[in-house]
Amino acid sequence: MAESLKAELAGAGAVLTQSALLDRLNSGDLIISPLLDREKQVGAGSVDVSLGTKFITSQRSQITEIDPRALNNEQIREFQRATVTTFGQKLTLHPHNFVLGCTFEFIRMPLDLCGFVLSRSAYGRAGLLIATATYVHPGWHGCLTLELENLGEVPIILRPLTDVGQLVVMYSAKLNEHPKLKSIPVGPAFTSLSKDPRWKKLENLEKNL
Amino acid sequence: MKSLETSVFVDAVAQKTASLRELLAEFRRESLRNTSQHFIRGVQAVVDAVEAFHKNRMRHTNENFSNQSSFQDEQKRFYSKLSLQLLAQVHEKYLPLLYSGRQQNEFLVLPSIRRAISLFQSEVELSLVPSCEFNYMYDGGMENFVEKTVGILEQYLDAKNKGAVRAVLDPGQKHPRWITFVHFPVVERNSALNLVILGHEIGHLIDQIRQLYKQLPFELEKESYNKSFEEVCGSPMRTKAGGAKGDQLTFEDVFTRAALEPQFRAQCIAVATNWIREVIADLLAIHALGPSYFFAFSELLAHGAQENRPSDSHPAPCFRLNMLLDELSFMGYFGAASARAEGEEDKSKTQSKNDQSRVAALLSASQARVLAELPTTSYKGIMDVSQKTIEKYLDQIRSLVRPSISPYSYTADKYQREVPLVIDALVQGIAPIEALVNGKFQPNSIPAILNGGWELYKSDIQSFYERFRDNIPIQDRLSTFNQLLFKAIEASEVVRLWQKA
Repeated sequence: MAESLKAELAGAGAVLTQSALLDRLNSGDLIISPLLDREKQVGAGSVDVSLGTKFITSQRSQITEIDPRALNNEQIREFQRATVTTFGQKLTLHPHNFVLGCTFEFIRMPLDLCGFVLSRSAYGRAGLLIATATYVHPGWHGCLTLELENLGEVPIILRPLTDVGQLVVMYSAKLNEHPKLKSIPVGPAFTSLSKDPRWKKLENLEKNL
Repeated sequence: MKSLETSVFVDAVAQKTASLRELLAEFRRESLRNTSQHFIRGVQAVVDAVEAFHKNRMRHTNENFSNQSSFQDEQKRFYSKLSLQLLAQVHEKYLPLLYSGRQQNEFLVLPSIRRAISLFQSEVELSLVPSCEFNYMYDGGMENFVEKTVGILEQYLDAKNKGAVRAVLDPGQKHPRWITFVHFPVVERNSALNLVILGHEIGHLIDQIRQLYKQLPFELEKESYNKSFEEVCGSPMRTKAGGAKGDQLTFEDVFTRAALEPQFRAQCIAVATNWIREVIADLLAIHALGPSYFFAFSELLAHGAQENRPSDSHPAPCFRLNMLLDELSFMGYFGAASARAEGEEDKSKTQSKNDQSRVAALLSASQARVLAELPTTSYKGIMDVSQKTIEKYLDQIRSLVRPSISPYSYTADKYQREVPLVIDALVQGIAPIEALVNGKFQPNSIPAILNGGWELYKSDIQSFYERFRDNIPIQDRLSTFNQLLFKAIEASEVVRLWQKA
């Protein structure tokens, strides 16, 4: 391995602790905004993140299955519906139900950091899972989509600004430049399965086999 | 209608009350965004009051006139018709406002607007009403609408039952004195840039609260008035095609000067008053929102494809643009601020100077075009009188408006301090919610967010667009830009409220 790469990877994978998190937040290159209660939210090795107001709920529909390859935007809208739960309102997540939410905080990951979103243990123990696709890339911008699921047997009430998650930030090998963006989400994103360019290639491959 | 049985009227009240209740419960469940929750509860209270009134009167009639069947019928019909009229009013006046509330933007902008209004007056609630007409409008609102309805109903109660309607209202439920509505084109609901025009409509509300327009020593400009009146008196009456030949009759020949004068004066006063109120709203908006209001107003004129002509309700667009530019000059936007930054060496101040110069350059370019068009505006008759009157009073209007808004005026100094930080965030694709000032994170002000958005949009939006992959359509990039502004407006307001909580 080249020496320069070795040096670059030396710290990669290490989790940023409180002082490093505060340094990076205060320098303005790591952005998690707004932190309403900075002292409480920036913990020993993670930053608490809270629920925003926008949700995508699943609804009963006439489609019989989710075939990622055959899915189009209209079908997605048939089984997923965007809703807003404003401050003062609540959303009830029934046992084994699934909704998409987003962080209230806007996040910009610098080019040399990456992160993982995890449930806060207090909510996890109550049965709330908040993220399945947990990785945040270096250079990522926006409000993170949270996949909220109630794994317990009792309904859980969700309210905006409830700090349900934590963002663990780690060093990574540095990207040379900001990756070009597809979007900058400020609410939960519908699944983008239908846009996967791999389906076209796969179809062509199948025709020729 | 005599052919309808009395029970039809009585039942109609019950049916209509039940239907309205169901609808209102639905609106309450939805908790419409950007709609005053007091308004929804107020409408509910009106329905409750009408229902209580109707039940009370039916019981009273049954108990007191049981042996006078025809009088009893008459009474029941009367009270039922009265109740139905009030319920019809709820249906026609209030429900459209609630229905349109479903077409709101998904971000909360009302708390910021409410905060701005509360600086001038408490007990005023505002709802934003998306409209299918391409028009921004302030409709004056309703004062004490629950109390007024209850008052009407109480008048019809006998002494023994006085207070029976009022008693059904929740005593803990406080209804604001004014419920006001600002209508905006639904097509613009997702454009933070365009919705800056709301500032003008809120200016009308502040004018109404402060009664600014009433403080002017109003008198029509004499010279233009006399000239225009002479023209009216001497202008020929229209005759039907093929009418009698001979000398053409004038207005004066037919109506006499004494009859024409009051009518002409009233028309002139009406138009000039409308214009003065528009000028006041414009001045309040430009002070509150800085150049962003000028840019948004310019774009509104383009959308409406209006020619530079005055109307009964509004002065000529070119006159308004020129007046806004004059006011921005008074606020320090033409050169003075950039001159102040002269000689500053540190990087941030040099950046500020550049940004200040950039907005000054944008405004100067607009000014050159406005000044070229201004003399070509044509004013005749009542329009000429109104224009001369408004020109005569413009300095007084400014003197009246400036002190009332000066603590909140978004001057060039504030712009210079705040806007570059917003632009810097936006260029990087970051929602400009907070800025790091003197080592502390502070929520960006709403004018800073909007001005940052407009300046970048007008001068260098390409630098934002370049952050996206090539296959992302421009409209999606612009939509994202507006969403970042909305997110910043909503979240910065939450930060401010959190700090107070």
